[in-house]
Amino acid sequence: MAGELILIVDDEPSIRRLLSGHLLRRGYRVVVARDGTEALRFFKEETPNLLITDLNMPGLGGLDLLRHLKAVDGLGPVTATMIISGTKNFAPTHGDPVAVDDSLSKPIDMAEFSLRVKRVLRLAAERAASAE
Amino acid sequence: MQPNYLHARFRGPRRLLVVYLAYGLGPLAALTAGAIVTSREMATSQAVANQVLLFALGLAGAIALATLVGLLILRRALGSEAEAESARRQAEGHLRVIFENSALGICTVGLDGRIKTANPALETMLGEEGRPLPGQSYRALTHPDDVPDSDRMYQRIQRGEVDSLSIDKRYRRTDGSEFWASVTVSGFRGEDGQLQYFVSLVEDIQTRKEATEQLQKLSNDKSHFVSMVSHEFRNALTGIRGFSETIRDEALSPDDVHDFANEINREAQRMSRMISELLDLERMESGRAQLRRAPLDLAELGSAALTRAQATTDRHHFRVVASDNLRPLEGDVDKITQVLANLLGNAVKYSPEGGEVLLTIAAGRGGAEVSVSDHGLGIPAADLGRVFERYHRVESGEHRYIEGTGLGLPIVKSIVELHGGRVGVVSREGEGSTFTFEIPWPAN
Repeated sequence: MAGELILIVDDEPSIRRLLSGHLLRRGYRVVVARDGTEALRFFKEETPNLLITDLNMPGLGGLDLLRHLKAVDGLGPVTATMIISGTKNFAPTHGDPVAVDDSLSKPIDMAEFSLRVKRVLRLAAERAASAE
Repeated sequence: MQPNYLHARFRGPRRLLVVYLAYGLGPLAALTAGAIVTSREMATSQAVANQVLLFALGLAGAIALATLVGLLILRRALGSEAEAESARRQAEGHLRVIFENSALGICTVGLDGRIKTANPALETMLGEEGRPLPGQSYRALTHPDDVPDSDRMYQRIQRGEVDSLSIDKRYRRTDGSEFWASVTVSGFRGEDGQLQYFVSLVEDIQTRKEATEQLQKLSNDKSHFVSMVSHEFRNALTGIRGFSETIRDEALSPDDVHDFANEINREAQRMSRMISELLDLERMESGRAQLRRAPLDLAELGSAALTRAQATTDRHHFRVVASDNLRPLEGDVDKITQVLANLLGNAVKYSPEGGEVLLTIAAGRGGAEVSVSDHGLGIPAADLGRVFERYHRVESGEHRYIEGTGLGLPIVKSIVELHGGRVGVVSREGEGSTFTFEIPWPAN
């Protein structure tokens, strides 16, 4: 199912361009944010099907963004979450209450990225269906 | 020798002996002599009298021997008492030497928390001219934040929970200056077991503490450096890898291919810039960088740098004000060019709304003074003192959207200092910044 709304949060302009172009060419709708604060603002208006966020960003980073969304704004089952980290061995659930659906490390393999995006979108759709 | 005096000086078995000698043997000898005289007078025959005499002499001899032995024992007892006294004096003398000459601060503290005696080392550490430590309370000399810990330490010893305790705490001198010390406090108890006073040993660990903190900071800087470099490199690599995979795997329009090749090129250039900046800084900070000294025309270098900066932006306009009476200067042309490029580049980057960037070159007393002013974001007061530090980046407000490695200004500082000059910055958040550097006039 194409046409899902994906929010990409990264402080690096080139990575925003790379990922958004990649997803746009595959028929997704894409919005970008430069950091967690901008992403939160977006969540006030719309609920994306997938949130892809960088881990390390100045200001509000990826984990803080997720925590904030879960605690305050209520990140529903509709939204899949994917974190992109600068380190190879990032374990999103290890010692941290923030769980994400998937994580990738930089540099990103684009073919792998496509597959993962498809997979987590399907996961979130199933989760949303069973929650209803 | 007075028996009263004698026996009062001894305790236990020795006192028994003295009492026996003084009160027992004396009367016994008198009694024996009396018995001899009496028995001789009353003897019925010469043979009996002789026997009595022999017996009496034997008895007297035994008594004399016993007295002698008793006296010898007494003398030894008195002798060891004197030896003990002398040993005690000697030990006291040793302690006095240690107390007076120790590099460790030593004091005794009364149960009221006031210092009773303090050695010269502690007076030097803590004291004040004309105001000796004895009589002062340890609380008044302790940093207010550390008073509770100190109190607890004294209380635990006082309650007999422990004999001795050590803590690290800060002392505060009467002039307000502070230092870290490692303090060991022990209780001194009398023979009855009652606590009489405390003995405190104070070691000044300020220098050690500072060295440890310095090491900690270096280690943190290094970790920060490694994570910063890997973060920047991974970001650049993500662009290079991602866009090249896109070109390889997707059917793209020629325009897209061109754009993506541009992205790859930009990221590759960013990586090579980071590597050369890192190597430059490393060379300069380790003292391995050599300046290629040549005549330096700051006005000419300034306007060339300005032209290059102008080519990167159409939102800023540049102005240069150069003094006419600049004396000839010497320096490394390439490196000073880099300083100017970094400062002008920052002025452009950190004034995203555009505006004027002013470069002034003036003749100062000690050297040529160069300044670069912008009307941009400015620097928050909290960051102002750290902008020349490696990897320090202002990450508040709009600053966080501006790319950079955090190496530009440290490079400026290193280059200027290699020339014997100094750097400075004046800034107000929201109003702009002025960075200055000075290159000293040649010595002759």
